[in-house]
Amino acid sequence: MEAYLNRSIKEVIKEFPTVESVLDEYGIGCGPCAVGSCLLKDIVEIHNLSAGEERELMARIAQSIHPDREIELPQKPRKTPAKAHEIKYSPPMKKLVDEHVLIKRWVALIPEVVKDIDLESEEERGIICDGIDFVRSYADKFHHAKEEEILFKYFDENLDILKVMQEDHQRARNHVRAILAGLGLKDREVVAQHLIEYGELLSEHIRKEDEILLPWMDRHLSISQVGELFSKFNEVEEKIGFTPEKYLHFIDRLERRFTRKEG
Amino acid sequence: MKITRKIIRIDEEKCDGCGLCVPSCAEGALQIVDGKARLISEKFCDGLGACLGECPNDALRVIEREAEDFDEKAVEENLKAGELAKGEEPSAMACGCPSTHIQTFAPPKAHPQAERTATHRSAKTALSHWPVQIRLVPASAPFLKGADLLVVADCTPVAYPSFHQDFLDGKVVMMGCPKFDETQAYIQKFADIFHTAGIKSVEVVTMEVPCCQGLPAIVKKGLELSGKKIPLSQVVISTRGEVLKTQRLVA
Amino acid sequence: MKTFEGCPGSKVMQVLDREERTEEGTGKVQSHLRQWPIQLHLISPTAPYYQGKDVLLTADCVGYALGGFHRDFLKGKSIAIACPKLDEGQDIYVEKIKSWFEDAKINTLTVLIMQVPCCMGLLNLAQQASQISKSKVPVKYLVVGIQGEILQEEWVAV
Repeated sequence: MEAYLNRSIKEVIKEFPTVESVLDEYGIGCGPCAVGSCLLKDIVEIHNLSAGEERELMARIAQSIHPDREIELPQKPRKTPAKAHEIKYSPPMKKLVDEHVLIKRWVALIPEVVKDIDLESEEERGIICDGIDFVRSYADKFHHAKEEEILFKYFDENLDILKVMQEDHQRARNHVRAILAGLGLKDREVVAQHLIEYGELLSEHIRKEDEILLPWMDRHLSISQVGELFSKFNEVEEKIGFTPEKYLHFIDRLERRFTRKEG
Repeated sequence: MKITRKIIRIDEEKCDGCGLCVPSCAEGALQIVDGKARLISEKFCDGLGACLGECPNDALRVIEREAEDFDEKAVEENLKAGELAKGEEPSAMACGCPSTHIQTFAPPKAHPQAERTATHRSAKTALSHWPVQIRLVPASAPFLKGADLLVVADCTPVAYPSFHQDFLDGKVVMMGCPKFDETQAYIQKFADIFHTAGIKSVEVVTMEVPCCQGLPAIVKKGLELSGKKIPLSQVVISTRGEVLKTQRLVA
Repeated sequence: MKTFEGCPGSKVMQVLDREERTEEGTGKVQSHLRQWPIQLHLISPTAPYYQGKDVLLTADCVGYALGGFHRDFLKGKSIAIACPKLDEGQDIYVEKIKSWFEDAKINTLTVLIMQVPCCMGLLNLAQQASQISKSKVPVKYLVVGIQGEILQEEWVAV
């Protein structure tokens, strides 16, 4: 078992597929992860399980790896991992989590937008363009100017979890390019497919950040660093110049339009 | 006016004068007098029995007998007068304010949380009781009995890095500010403590600043008033955290 | 309240940075206190040792309950101590904390209180100041048990 602690989770799951479902029961979704380079021993620390849960999880993984051995499982009821709204964040992290909320509202509208979209209509193409502009300005510029360009730089860029996040960002940008290309060609299939996949990617990505990455970062930042981040975030927002209200109104309008369609 | 009603009864055989019941009475009806808990006046007791839970010796009971009726106004006046006169123990809150709740405990051997919490691996604490403020520690507190007493100016553990190891370890501490606190009441309190608690020794630790020098004077006065002979020494700490001076005040 | 210009007890002093003085073998420990005075009643919020700093606002009793207070919490910070239960004239406290935020532009405020209910008043003062202040600063609070354990540690919503 000790030898496996220093292997990447991707390797471990490849060799012992049951490990994936065990991890899943503890809310750790390493299976579908594109990168999978996190070491087995680091995964628990990143996910902040209690001491009891950690013992239980490791015992069950050990059982998957060595099914012939007698392993004693501690008898303890397991609690579900904290949901985003239960987690207490430091002020700079909270800012990022609040910005995620707006992005999630946009993502929630994607199925409606895509349903009967008519790309011949300039107005409807405009809605998609505005949505892409929202994502590029609000998510990429306003949000990532803080997250990627400031916060992530406080940590070693070679950290596996950061690589996972960067990979997600890259895939997201690829989708956006494909959507714009599809718009140009008025290809409804391409636009719809990429929008849906993009929405799913974003949802999952935001969940990972809210529930795992940002709390982990909070645990590893000193009080002083939190203060610095808070100031830097404020500074960069002033420098960027645009105000988030504009994007809030945009989402409000979009929601009113698409929920009215249903009713 | 006398009526038949519920009122507490103190079994003087069982009562050892520990004083735990005193702050638990919101009406301030109980006091330690000559080493035993006593009802100051029948009028102050409402017969509720909140004090019963605090007594470790089962010396309190609620009984029914002929007694002066409970007088709320008298209680108010008594509480107010008590605060003005002594300015020490604040009138006990109805819930029994935990800040005045007397507790004794052994300093823990290790902190189980220390391993998990990467950020705060606290050094061992040497504190063995609560409360710690001069104003809040009653003269009858059980942890004072036979103790080596440390009297400290508030600021000291902030200025002196190894306060727990070098001063607090094995001692009972009382902290106060000779500049801002009601020092007259302190003299009387120390006099009571030295008179009744069997204190073995007293060390007074203060900062180098002049306003701190009132503290050893207060303790010395209390010692004189008590009529007891107890070794008294003083340590002065600089703002840079060094011991500047150690001296015997009373052999 | 009298003014205290003459009293060395309240004279503002910056203790200069000095090299490590921990002497091996003697067990002598370096002090992390870099200022005087420390009592909230006596400090000036705009004193040089608060400017842009991480500030610790501590209840009087905390240093007595927390064995590692000096090394684990004070290091690298500036401090003020107060008793929210027994101190008089606490209105000035909110003003001073507000001045920390707006004038001294402190980096963070960490409030250290005991688990006893009356101590919560110190956090309330900090929150009040935060609400009325034009400048927002991250505020964290820790609750210390009387046996020296950290019972709670949280960031306050800004």
